[in-house]
Amino acid sequence: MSDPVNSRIRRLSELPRDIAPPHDGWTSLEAKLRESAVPEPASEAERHETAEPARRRRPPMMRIAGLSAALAAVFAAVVIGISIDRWILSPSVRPAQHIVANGGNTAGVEGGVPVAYVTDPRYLHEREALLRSLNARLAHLSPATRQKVLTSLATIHQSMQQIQQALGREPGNALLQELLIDSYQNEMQVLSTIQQAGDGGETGT
Amino acid sequence: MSTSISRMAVLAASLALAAQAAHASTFQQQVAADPSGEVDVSNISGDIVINGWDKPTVSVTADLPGSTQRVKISTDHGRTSVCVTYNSRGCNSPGSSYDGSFGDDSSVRLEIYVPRRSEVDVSGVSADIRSRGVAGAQQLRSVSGDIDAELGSGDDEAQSVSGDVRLQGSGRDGRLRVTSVSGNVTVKNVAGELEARTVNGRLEAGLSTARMARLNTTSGDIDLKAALDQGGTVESETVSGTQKIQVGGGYAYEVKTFSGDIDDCFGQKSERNSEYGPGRHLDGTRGAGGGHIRLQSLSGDISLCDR
Repeated sequence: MSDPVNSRIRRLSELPRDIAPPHDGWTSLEAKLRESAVPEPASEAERHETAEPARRRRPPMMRIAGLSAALAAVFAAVVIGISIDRWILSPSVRPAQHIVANGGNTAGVEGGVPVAYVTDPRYLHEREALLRSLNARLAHLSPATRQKVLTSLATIHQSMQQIQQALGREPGNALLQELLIDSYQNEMQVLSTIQQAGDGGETGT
Repeated sequence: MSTSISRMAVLAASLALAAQAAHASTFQQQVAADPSGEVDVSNISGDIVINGWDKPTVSVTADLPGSTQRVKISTDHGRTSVCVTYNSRGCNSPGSSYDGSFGDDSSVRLEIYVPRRSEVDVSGVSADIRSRGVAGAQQLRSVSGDIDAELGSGDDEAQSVSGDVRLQGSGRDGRLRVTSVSGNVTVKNVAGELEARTVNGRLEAGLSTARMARLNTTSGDIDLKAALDQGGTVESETVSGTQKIQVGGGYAYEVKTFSGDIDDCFGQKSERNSEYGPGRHLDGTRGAGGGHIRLQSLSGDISLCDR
């Protein structure tokens, strides 16, 4: 019998069909797989019980979901960051939404805080209309009342700026986001109240 | 010479006062009214005093300081309207044409008795509003005047811009909404639902039974004492104001502040949201009952206790 390795091969057909490995690793691998495998559930109940671990064995899906959430968070952070940069850090590009009272002391409320986080067009339209008519409405109030209203609006705007600055440091903070939205609501409440009070009038002096 | 001028000025002022006193008068009228109808009252300046009584009649008394003020009363389908006009202006849309051409001397004091179960809608501008003994729903609005009212058990609403609001409930279940811009708000012995909001005024509320209480200020402090109904909710929020919340009953609570402190009488310590960033929170439960308390602030301190 010739030695297949040492003998000289002249044709392809002379090559051996199978070459046995020096040792068979498959047997130990199969045994390991059997040890770690979950047994096939025999009943429907067993199948249900094993559903939860089965879901846990889906790392690719979890990874994709986690990645999507992370991307969404990054996107939100970028959007908020851009908003903060645009509306707070770069006042030169603020929209022309200003509160200026005729003949009243306007200290503290000369610049209405722009709406950087609320994009509902109905809200924006309503707010803009209320701000436009604010001067006329304030003119109907007595100087003492007007001063108190302006102080209150200044308080709200100062609070909005504090919250926005805090959001700049922690864009994903749910508490801050909620406080900011509520501050917008408070501002709307005051503007609406002034609108109604201005309809009633107090004194123009 | 200057003495003569002074004397003339005093004389002129005296004559003016005498002339005004001559024009001052008291208006008084009674009209039949639906015992559970609606009474609308509006007066720009002065006082509005409302009293509930057990007669099916609306009685109006007004102190008119001059000849330019009038009181108009009308009734229509169970609705009685009482309105003060100044130089023929001021009704329906009170003060819409009020240009400040008359001063405080023109203030009119209105005292009105209404059937106890009436619904009352009162509107003033710089007029103080006082209400006693009315069991029906009340809507009270003033710009710079104060509001001081006893409430029945209806759906009540009080709104002011710079005036203070003081409301005393009957302890019976109802729904109350209070808003003020810069005035202080004080609510006592109400039950059921309360929604109160002020910007920089102080908010103080006492609920004998709270089904839902929602309180909000910007910089004003909040002081709430309440017994929570089973499954009831309390939500309180400030930006920089301090909150002192005392609520009895069983509930889960969550307290959050960004840069303020959290204190409680449960022996529980608030925790930092993260090791390096700002923010603290306190979560837990107190007894049973399924109630829920949610308190939050940007920089205000929060104190929660059940006694």
